[in-house]
Amino acid sequence: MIAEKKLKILHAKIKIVPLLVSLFLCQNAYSASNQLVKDQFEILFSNSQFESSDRLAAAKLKEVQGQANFEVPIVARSYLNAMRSATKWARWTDAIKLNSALAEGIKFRSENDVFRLEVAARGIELNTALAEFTVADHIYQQTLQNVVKNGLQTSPEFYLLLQAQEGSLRRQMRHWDRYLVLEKKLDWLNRFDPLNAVEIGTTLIKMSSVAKVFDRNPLRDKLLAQARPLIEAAYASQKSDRNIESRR
Amino acid sequence: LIFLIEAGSGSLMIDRDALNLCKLRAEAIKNIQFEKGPDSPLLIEWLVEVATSCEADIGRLAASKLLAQALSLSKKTWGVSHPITQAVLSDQVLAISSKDPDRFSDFWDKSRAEAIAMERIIYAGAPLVLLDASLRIIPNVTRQDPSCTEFANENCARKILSALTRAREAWGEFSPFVAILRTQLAIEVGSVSSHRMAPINDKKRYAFVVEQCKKAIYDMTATLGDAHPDVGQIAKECGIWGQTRRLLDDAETMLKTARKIFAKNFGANDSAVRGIDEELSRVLYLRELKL
Repeated sequence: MIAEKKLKILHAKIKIVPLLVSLFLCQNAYSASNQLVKDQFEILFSNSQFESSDRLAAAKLKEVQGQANFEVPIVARSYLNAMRSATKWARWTDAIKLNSALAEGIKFRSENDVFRLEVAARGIELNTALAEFTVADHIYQQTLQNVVKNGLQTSPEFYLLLQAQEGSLRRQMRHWDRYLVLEKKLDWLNRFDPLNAVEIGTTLIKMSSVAKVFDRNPLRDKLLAQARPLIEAAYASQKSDRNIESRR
Repeated sequence: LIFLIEAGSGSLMIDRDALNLCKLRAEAIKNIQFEKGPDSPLLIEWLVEVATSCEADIGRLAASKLLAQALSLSKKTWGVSHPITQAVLSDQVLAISSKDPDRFSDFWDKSRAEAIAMERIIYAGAPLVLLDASLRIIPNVTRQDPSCTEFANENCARKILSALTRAREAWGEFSPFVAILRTQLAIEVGSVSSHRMAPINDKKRYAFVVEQCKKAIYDMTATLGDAHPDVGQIAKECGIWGQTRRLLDDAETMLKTARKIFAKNFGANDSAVRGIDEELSRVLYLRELKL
């Protein structure tokens, strides 16, 4: 009798193992697929191939629509990409709907989840485009609190948040607040992406533009002097890349 | 396009580093033009990008030319009242706003048709377009308006105020943006077509501007706090305007407000503070001359 029971338990365990394995594989497949979609979209979007990125976003959204379970990374990612694309093409109704769905869907995620920062950044971009500056500021302030509370300042998603807020402040012409956000951006770049010469140079030049607004010429000169070698290096390297390409 | 940037900047100061950066970005435009054709909507994005990120260094005229290209393309692609067109329009106005209005008067006077089109958009009341209405477009529109040719400050002011009203509806009374707008509008009312104004109207017109400036400073203080550098910037602009119009008491008060804020933020030896000191010494000099 006891032997029979043990056999039954063993049998059940044997059944559970493949189930666990398949669950593990499925989870991995989900995250790998999610990463792939993220990368594909990012590459297209950052290379200004907006038509292709829009098509990709629409296709992925179609695949996951109906599931609407934002705990599944690929579902949330598809919504986010589609929202970003809709913002880019000024399809406001779509963008607002997707944004609301995402905001609702991520409510139950952990406070440590950096995806929340990414959603916030895109939310700021959307609200800035709609001239809903108060909403954009509110999103930024709320998210910033969360960032500080949970020590998320080192994440790349925090950089996205700063970038979105900087754009919003530029549009609002709140020069000095913009300068402060640019300073944060520069600090992040220096710490976590120090080889990104173009972005660091661009940020310095933007800061120098604000300094110019306030007639703070020594500060402006200092910022430009810092930007100079970076921009020159980037320009020279692009030029040499082009020369190599043309020789080929 | 690089040629356009360089040629367009004319006698304006060009910063070599910034220009290099612009060149990098202009490369992107050339690539898009080559790959996607000269009418690709993607160009709008990049024209705006180059113009706005390099505006301070290539000069506003060059930036506004790039934005004009973007605007024309956007109108063609999306239509006049589409939000993208409106956003480009906003950028264009940001690029040419605030200082040196005379430098751009030629450019704008030539664009009468553009100004009329903008007026139509402005009165459609979209919030982003109010940005344009607020900063520079309305005075240019009113300059083209026959009713504004003679002693029509009241008429122009009414138009401008109506844009301000719409902005207040869109963003609320105490939005920092509305405060900036109020300053710009006030300064415009005081600046535009002043040569057409009879001296008798000056007192009334200047009183209106000073009142609007004071209100702008008050609103901005209410939203950003009394030590925010942007409040100082508004006070400085109003102060300089007052000084050039010989409204010395108001100018002195505003410049002193700006000085206090800048000194608090940047230190008493900062170039921004020194710049205000120069304006203040000019006020004292004018007062001594009893002008």
